[in-house]
Formats: sequence, structure tokens, C-alpha cells
Amino acid sequence: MDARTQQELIAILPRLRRFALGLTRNGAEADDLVQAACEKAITRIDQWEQGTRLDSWMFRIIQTTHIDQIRSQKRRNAHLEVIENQGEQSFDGENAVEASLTLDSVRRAIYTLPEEQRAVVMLVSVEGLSYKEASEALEIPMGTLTSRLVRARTALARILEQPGRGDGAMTAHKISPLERGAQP
Amino acid sequence: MMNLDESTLIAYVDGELDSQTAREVEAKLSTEPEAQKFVEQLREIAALSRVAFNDTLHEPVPQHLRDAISATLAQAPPAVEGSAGEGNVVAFSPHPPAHWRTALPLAAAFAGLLLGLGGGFQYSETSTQKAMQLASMSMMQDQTAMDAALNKALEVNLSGNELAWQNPDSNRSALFTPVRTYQDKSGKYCREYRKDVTATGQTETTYGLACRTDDGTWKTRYLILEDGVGKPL
Repeated sequence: MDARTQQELIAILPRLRRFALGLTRNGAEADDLVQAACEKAITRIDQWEQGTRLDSWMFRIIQTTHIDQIRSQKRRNAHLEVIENQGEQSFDGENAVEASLTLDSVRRAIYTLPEEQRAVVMLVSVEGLSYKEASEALEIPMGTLTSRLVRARTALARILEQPGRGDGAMTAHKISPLERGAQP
Repeated sequence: MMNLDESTLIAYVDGELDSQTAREVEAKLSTEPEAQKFVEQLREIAALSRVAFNDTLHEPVPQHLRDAISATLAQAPPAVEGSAGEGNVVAFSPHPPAHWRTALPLAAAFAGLLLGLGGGFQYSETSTQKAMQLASMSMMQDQTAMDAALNKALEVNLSGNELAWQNPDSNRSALFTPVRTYQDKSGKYCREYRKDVTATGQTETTYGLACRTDDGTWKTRYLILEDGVGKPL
């Protein structure tokens, strides 16, 4: 890996960690995932197409590495379904008011999405990639990307919909599986 | 006639429609309150999603991760001169459209403010006026940046955890510390905070009470100066 690419890799680490956190839902696991993905990238740099975006390539490696990790984990603990909803240590152990702040509820809603939808939301909504960039990064057809995105966004809207809209912050205790389009 | 289905509205919010289709969507939206509500909700969730994962972006990369990557880099075979495509590397650039796409309404207010200043600046004649304009512009920009930092501290920091802001150019810095959180009868959140602003070596401490509005911005309702004189806003 040449010096410029190394520098660029270091520079995009915060974004890689953010994407990995979205996938793993756990800070420590996210860092392990980023480390594993960087090791792959460094040893297989010859597979990177020169002139394409390094960040997109790294997002792809992170996602495939994560899928591999989940598969081997599932084989090992076939009877356990691990869900780590605390993506951030600073949000636990505080009082109920703190725990129901908006950002936390949005984060938790994203964490309830299936893996493939979460990856799409992280790239499009959080990273701000265009549909084209995201479909290239995940190596999925545009139609697959948009259908995952529609399912993810409608699910989030349903989870976070609040009955008395406009009366305050979007809070966790107001989460209800209200159907969109229901007439008052 | 196009149909305002969910995928169209989502593509519209993500800025993925061509301008012709986007205009058609906008025209139809004005007559369909349900769709309009969905669009607002999508925008709000997108904006919050972005902020919800911002902490990771701004915190330092842990040393152990940096060390592990450096070690792997050191072990990897050195790049062959010329083959690595020097000058061929596409530099990372942030995506500006994404910022306006998911920007909070606050950003629009900032834009309006800066635009206003820019207009005033054009009319200034003398260099003294220009210097004064620049100084006040810098102060206004700092004020805007500090307001944004305070908003972030109130939005994401737990009580007792400070958020530091500084501008090395103007030599101003500030600490914002949420002190206590309340929820009023209607479910709105209000937080007491402490603000320490340092400019030209002098620190001024104020305490405030801010409440969260529907669009995610925190409005200060009450400010208390350090000497204890209350100043309702």
C-alpha cells in the first residue's frame, strides 16, 4: 500500500468505525471489525481497482467481513441470538429521562433492522452516499438497494411514529407500532 | 400521472429524483397531507440518524486500533514504485449534497444569517468599515458555531459531561455542560446548562435553561449570569 493510500485509509477510519458500529451495534466489536477489514485491505491491496474510491471499497470489505463473522458465530452459538442494543456505553446506567432522548431512540430503531437494511441505511442516511455509490459499495443492484431502503425507511417511520405528533420530542416511551396512514 | 408511493417519496427525500420528477412530486405533495407528513417524518429521521452516529465520527480513533493497523502496514510488502498508481488515487471528499439533504432546519437559519451579513458587507465603503464588518462577521460566525455546539451538547451529552468548542483563529473557546434534565407535563425536555465562554483570556460563566423544540433545536428560556442576576429571555 503506497503512502498516499495509507494516509487516506487512516483519514477515513472515523467513518469506517461509524459504519462498523451501525453493523455490529457495539463499540468494541465495531473496532475489531474495522481492524479485521483494514488487515484484509492492506494484504489484498492489489484487488483494489485503482482510481475507484477507497472508502467504498472499505465499506464493502467491512460488510463482507461482518457477514462472515456472523456466519461463523452462528455456527458456534446456533442456540443463541445475540442482540446488543447498547451501541454506546455513555448511554447506559443513567436515569430514564436521559435514556429516552431522541437520538438514542433513533439509534435503537436502526439497530432493530435486519443486517442488510441496516447497511443500506448507514450508507445512505448516515454516510450520505448516493444510491449509485451505495449500490456499488455493497455490490448489489440498484433495485435491491432501493427496495431495502424502502423497507428500512418505512420500518423506521413506523417504529418512531408518535401518536400526538408535534407535541414534543420523539421519545422512546412513545414508540408504538402504529400503522402509517391510519386515519384519526 | 405519477404516483406518490413510498419509494418515490423516499427517493425524493434522498435527493435522488431528477428535477422534473421532483417538481411533480412537490406539486402533488401540496394536495396530499398524508404523503406530506410522511416526507416530513422521513426527513426528521434521516437528520436524526445522521446526528445519532456523529459521536463515533468525532471521537479519536482508539490507540489500540491505530497501533494494530500500523503494525499490519509495517508488515505488508512495500508498494512497488509506480504500480500503486500515485496521482491516480481518488481523494476522499465529503458529499455536500448529503449535508443539505439531511440538514436540520437550523442550518437554513444559519444560511439566512450569513446571506444577510454578506449583503451588508457589499455596501460597506471604507476599509475601516470593512474591518469592522469582518470582525463582527467573525464574532457572528463564532456565535453561530457556539450555538450549534450548545445545541449538540444539549442533544447528545449526558448531564455533567462537557462539550468543548474552540476557534483558534479568533482565540475564542467555550465549554458547554448540561447540568440537569427535566421533562415538562407535555413531555418536552428541558435542560439546565452551564456555559463557560473564554475570549481574550477572560472567562464568563452563565447558566441557562433550554427546552427542546419540535424541530430538534434547543431554545434558551432563561439565562443566569454568574453574579446571580436572572435575565428572562
